Amino acid sequence: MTFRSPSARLALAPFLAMLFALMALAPVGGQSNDAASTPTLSVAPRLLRIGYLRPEGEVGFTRGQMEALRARLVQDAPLMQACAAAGYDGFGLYETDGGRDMLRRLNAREFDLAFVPLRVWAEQNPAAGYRIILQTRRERDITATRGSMVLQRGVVFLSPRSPFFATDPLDPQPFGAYLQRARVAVVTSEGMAEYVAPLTSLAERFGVAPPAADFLWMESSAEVVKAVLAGLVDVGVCEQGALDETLGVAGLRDNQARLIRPVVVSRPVPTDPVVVRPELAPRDSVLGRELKRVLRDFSIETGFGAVSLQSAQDSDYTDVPALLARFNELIGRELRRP
Amino acid sequence: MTPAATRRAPARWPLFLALVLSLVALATLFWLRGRLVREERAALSSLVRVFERGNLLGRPENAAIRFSVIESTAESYQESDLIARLFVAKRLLDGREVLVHPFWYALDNDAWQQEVAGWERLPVGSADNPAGALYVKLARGNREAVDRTILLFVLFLVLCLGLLVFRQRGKELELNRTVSELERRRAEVIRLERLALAGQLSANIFHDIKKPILNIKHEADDLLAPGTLDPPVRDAVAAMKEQTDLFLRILRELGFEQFVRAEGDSDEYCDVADSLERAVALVRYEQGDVIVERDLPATPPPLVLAPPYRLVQLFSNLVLNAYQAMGGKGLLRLRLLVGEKTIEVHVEDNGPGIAPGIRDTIFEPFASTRADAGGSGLGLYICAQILSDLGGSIRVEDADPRGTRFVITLPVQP
Repeated sequence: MTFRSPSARLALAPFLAMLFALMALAPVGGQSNDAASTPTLSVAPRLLRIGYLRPEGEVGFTRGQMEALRARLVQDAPLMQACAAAGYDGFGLYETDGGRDMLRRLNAREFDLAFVPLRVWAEQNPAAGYRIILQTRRERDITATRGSMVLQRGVVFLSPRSPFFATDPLDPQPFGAYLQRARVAVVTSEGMAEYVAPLTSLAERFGVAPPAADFLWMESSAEVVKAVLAGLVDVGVCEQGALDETLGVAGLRDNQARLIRPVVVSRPVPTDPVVVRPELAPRDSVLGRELKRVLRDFSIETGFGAVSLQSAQDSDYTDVPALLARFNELIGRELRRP
Repeated sequence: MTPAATRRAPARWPLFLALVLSLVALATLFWLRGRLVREERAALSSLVRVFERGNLLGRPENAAIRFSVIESTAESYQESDLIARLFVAKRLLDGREVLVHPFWYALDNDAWQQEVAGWERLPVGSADNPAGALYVKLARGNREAVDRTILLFVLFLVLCLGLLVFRQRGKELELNRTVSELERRRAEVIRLERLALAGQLSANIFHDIKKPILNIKHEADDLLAPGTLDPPVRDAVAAMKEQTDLFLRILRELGFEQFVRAEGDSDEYCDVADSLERAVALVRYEQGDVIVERDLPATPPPLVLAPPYRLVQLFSNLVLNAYQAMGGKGLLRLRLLVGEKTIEVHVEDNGPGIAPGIRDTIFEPFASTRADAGGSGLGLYICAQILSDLGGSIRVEDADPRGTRFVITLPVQP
């Protein structure tokens, strides 16, 4: 009998049906929470998912940094015990493609731990329930007068080539008209400290915002400062710490008053947070506490370069959504990168 | 064979070796310079390519650039030995060039374009679509060092070549002088040989003439015996005898007979003062207006053993020299000083004297102070030779207040 004969094919049909049924029932992928799967089939390990933004200007982390973090995490015995107790076998790294992608995946609760830009955190769906456990800190950042919260300010400044550089006080009307036609350098990340906060303050003080269509998009605050000092544009909007740092590196700090004129300095906003799913909040989870500890230690060991991490909580960030709402109210979403 | 003939010619291979080594060194320096230039060109081309491929300056209508990338690129090139400074300018839509690296430089230096006028300008982008330009100040320390070395080396070679040519030219001139001198001396030797021959002939002639003259004299003496001739004839014969006596007296007074006598004559005891007088008489035809002053001892000096004609020859040479040095007008002092074992004769003139540069050589053969006036340069040499044969000596001194003094020392016979 050969399989080419019709009768033979009919005889094989039940066996083939059973095979397809078994294949359909077998678990696939690593998303299953069931740790006691059938021993006869391969089961993907359950990973603690770490989300981060790929490097873009001064925000984000490199793949190398995150791999170093993962290596550091798996070497920590108490953390790995806590992971095992919570049913995690290891750590998965998930790079997001920009702030929009990060926001979508946060809202979908795709991450257990995430390094989140402040703007994204402010825009997330509160229902996702992520909790802040740490915040970033750079040397140039400022510390709140009370407590240890790390803050940043935004600044709008003019170059000496601007016709309003030496005008004091600034008359809102002619200066507002000037802003409407001036080319302004801003940061592409549209972050809170370097974009939302200073532009909101500018709008509050002068009642206008420069048209986004004529923005010169630069990848970082330092680049904004350089564009203004080089003479590509006359007005810059960036984070104040970066402005001071760039001037200092170039040896121009002593001439600061002659080289730039700050028009608006924004209210301080906290730095980018590190968040975890509510189940991993350190107050309730041993794994959350261990994660926080190891992350902080890793950052102190300069694992993230110039960025360190320090403890933070949700209460430090309560004003941020209001600032974003004010920005949207005064300026609107049309002031986004075209 | 003369020593000069046996002397080996100097080897020339060190000169050729030095020349070849110099040329190799020079070629190496030029090769090194060429390599530095090529490296320089390659670095600049590479720099432009990096900016163009990375589109680091963007298009003129897009002012957004990445300063950090431009800075890191520029710094990586500035770390090389070839580029000292690098300015990066971005071209904007309105045609302006904005200095973006160093980003702060134009703030305090509005005239930065004048500052970079002497630098290399490397356009970035195509002619139709320029993106900007790179202004490079090349670090030409190595190249300039090589250039300086080449220049110094070439100067050194030129100097060496010049010295070589100069030295060669000097040798040629010296050789020419030597050849001319040899020719002159050869002619002089020929002339002297002729004179010697003439002297020998003269001696023979005088010897031969003297015999018939003596015969005439003796015949005249016989004819003048008393009572042999009539008075008119006797007077004529007496006049003839007088003329022959005069001839023989002149011959005797001049000592010419002795002077031209052949060598080999035996020594005699001679009176130096007498020899001196005879020498003065011998060369009186050259005296002109020269006054001859004698300072001779009152008593006859001790005798000197010598061939008489050689003393006359010695003194006549010196007196003749003095006459000729004074140009026929001056004062000649002859002094004779008698010592215990020697006699000193001073022959002193008040002529122009002898230049210090040739004083040491005047007793050498052909060393004449009157080469232009036909001097043979042998007179003083002959004097020195005569004195050397007689066991005496001669030296020259400056006379006071001017002129020359020859001091002749002769040993006195005990």
